[in-house]
Amino acid sequence: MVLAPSEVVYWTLVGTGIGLLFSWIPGFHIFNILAVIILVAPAMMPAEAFPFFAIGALVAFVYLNILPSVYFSAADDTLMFLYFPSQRYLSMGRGHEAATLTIIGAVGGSLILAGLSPILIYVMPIVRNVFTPYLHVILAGIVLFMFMSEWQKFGDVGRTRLERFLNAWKQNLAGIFVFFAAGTLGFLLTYRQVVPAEIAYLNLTPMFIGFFATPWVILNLLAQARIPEQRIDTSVSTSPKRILQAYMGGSLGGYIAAFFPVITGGMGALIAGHITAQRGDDMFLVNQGTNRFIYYVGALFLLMVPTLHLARGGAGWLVGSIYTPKTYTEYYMAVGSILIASGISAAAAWILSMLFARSINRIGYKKLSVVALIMLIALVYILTGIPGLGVMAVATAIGLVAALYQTRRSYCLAGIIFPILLNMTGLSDWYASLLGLI
Amino acid sequence: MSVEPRLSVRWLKLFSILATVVGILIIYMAARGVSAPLVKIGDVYGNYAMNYAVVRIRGNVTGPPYVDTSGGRITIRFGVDDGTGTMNVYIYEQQAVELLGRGLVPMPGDVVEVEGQLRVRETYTYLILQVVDLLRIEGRSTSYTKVYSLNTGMEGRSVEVSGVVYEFREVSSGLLFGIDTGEGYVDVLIPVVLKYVDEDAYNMLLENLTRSLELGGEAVVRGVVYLYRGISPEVVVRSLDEVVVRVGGALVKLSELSRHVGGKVVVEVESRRMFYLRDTRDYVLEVSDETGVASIVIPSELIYDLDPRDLVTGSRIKVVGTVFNETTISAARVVPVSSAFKIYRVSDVDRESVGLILAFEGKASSLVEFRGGSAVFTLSDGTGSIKVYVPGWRSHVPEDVKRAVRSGGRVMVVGYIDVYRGELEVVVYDSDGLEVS
Repeated sequence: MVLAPSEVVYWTLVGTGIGLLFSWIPGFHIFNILAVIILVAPAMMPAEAFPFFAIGALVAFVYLNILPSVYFSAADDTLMFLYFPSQRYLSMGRGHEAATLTIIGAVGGSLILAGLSPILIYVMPIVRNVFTPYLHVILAGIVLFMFMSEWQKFGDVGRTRLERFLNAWKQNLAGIFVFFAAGTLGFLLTYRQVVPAEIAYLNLTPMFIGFFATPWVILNLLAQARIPEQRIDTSVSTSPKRILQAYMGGSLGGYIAAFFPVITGGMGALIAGHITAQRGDDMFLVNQGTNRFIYYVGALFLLMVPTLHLARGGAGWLVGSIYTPKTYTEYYMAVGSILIASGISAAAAWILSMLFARSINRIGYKKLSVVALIMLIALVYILTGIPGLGVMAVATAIGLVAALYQTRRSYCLAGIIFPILLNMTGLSDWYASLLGLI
Repeated sequence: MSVEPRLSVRWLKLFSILATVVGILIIYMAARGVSAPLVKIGDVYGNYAMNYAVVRIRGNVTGPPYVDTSGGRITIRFGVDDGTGTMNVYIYEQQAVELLGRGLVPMPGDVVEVEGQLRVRETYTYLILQVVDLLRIEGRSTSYTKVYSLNTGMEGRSVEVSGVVYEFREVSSGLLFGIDTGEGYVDVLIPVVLKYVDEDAYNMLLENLTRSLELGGEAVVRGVVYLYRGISPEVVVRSLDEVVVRVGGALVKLSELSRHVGGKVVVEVESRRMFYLRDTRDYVLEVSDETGVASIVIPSELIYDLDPRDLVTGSRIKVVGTVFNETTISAARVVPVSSAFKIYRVSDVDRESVGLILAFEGKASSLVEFRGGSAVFTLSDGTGSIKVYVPGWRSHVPEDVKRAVRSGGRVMVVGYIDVYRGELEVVVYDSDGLEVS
């Protein structure tokens, strides 16, 4: 049964509302919210509505999650050697401008995704047929590229040659450590049922919360930064040409991340960044907005392409287990759903950004971080029990290593990449027997 | 951003590394002690909360594994039925290669226990085998019961059959051939998955089966009885060691048949006369060689596969079959060697000609079409006239030939001479024996 357009709009709005409600909270990920909602979804809505609900929630997340990444990613010089552009903007009182540029990027992402939707029907099956036989090679290549694209940043710090050598390689070695630690944890969770089988679809949730959310919140608690007064400008420092260039780079990275399994927006951006060689903080922020939109929403959208039905990304797998839209009508209604949610979420994010900018020093983000940490722990406990908390604790330690040694946090994605690579290369038997699992 | 008094994170750095190592060790120890739960398929099918669960299922393999090599990668799929439902197990590229390398292929009749990861999609739930060692095949019988025909009640039994190869096709699911055991016909499938276990041995079987159709051949097969589409029993070979095909068979003279009663033979003979057995709907072909005369019983479906011109009296044929008694062979396959086809004159035919398989050419007239679908007409060639009886007129004779006969055109007929109500006639037993000349 195909939903009536009014029902599509209704469920899109409900999803957008849920997304707006939770996505501004630091450390909260919409996949975790969807994972909870999926348990009660059959009683809440018809199966055919879930994809549109998910689109609304996901689009709202992409926009609203810009706010904690700009306003609650506090950094000081003991914790972060290199500021991200958004942190640089925040330190200069231009947090709202950073958020606005990222929102502009996300708006571009939604327009590109919607504009290319008629072409995707024809192009994506070809792309899939071309790349599918080589996915493992491409995946291995991307992992290798991540390591190769690191450079030694502290080689001139230290009194002795050995000290300088260790300082230079500290970051890289930490990256390798994080990759294999996260990979081994992911392998153990993938090959052994640590959380109860009855809720196995949440198997990796504690791991991802531990890798990314809890370290972020903990570092915010430890950070000794005071955020300066924020200006609220009605204009941004960039140009239409630079925005268009950023759209192109961002959409390339977004599509790479959306199409290839287990490649995230950050990794897609890394590859696209090297291809397009874009420079400048304004372009980076717009690029990130576009990239994240296409990565998150595009991945779910691939499930709905009538000639493809490709399940990519957490939302794609969650939605695909309940209902996959099959008709062209649903596909184009999904395009409309994306645009509706995008319009509402862009406005909401922009207004909330102004509120945040005005009251950032009154919010007390340390208290907010404590609340977020408690909520994350409660969520993991409720969903996965004590075993889940244990997994989250270990993953948090790994995430902290990545953060404290200033290596790429995307190495934590080895939690899914490593088992898949072993599987694709036929080495999983060997690794499982090495660990004594079989 | 202004900075408050510095906070050292050196301890946190060390702690995070230590916690990582200790934490992974604890989870590793826990994982080693955890075994995947054994679940009922009916309980987990469609349960999306169990998506990605690592579970074990145990049940019977429902059919020969399906192999997909599209996209240049091999995937093996087989079904498991545990009494509460059926679920497909997928084995992708690397694990599939490993599995095939070990010759560890689940087959119908096997009881398997598989540990893998569940995938729950909207309308389809399946299991992915992640580690080859976590597939255990049990319950494969090593004792075989010799059988001569199959029935649905034999499903899952390990059997042995032997006989003459009378039919063979290469199909998408493997090599499908028929064996005439002498007491019945048995279909045998060599699943295509075995090609990937040992391609050379598989291709050798393919070649031998092909040659068996030409030169005759016998097969001895061990396997399990599987119901194709739930109704049609066939023997599925589970390993290439379980099938032996000998090309050629024993080429004997007709005078030696008495020594081979019950056995499979190949004879090269000359066709003489043909008769029809109404009760069994078989044809009997009288044949001879330089040592004697014998009768070949040929099932009608076998004779319709042959060109009637290859069977005219005097033609040489090779017959593969089972010796029924010292003068009778039950044919499993007939292969033409040389045809003695020529056009006879009607005036050449007399009472002595009954049973001969001859060809005539002439004008058709006086067509009578019967309600039962047969027809009779008169053929005149200038030397005389003879009745021509065509049993499959309505169903099998092409429209252009019918038009030619109806309009009194010239036609060529091939058939055996018979007597009906005291009058000689040519019986065109195969519609290929009637054509416009």
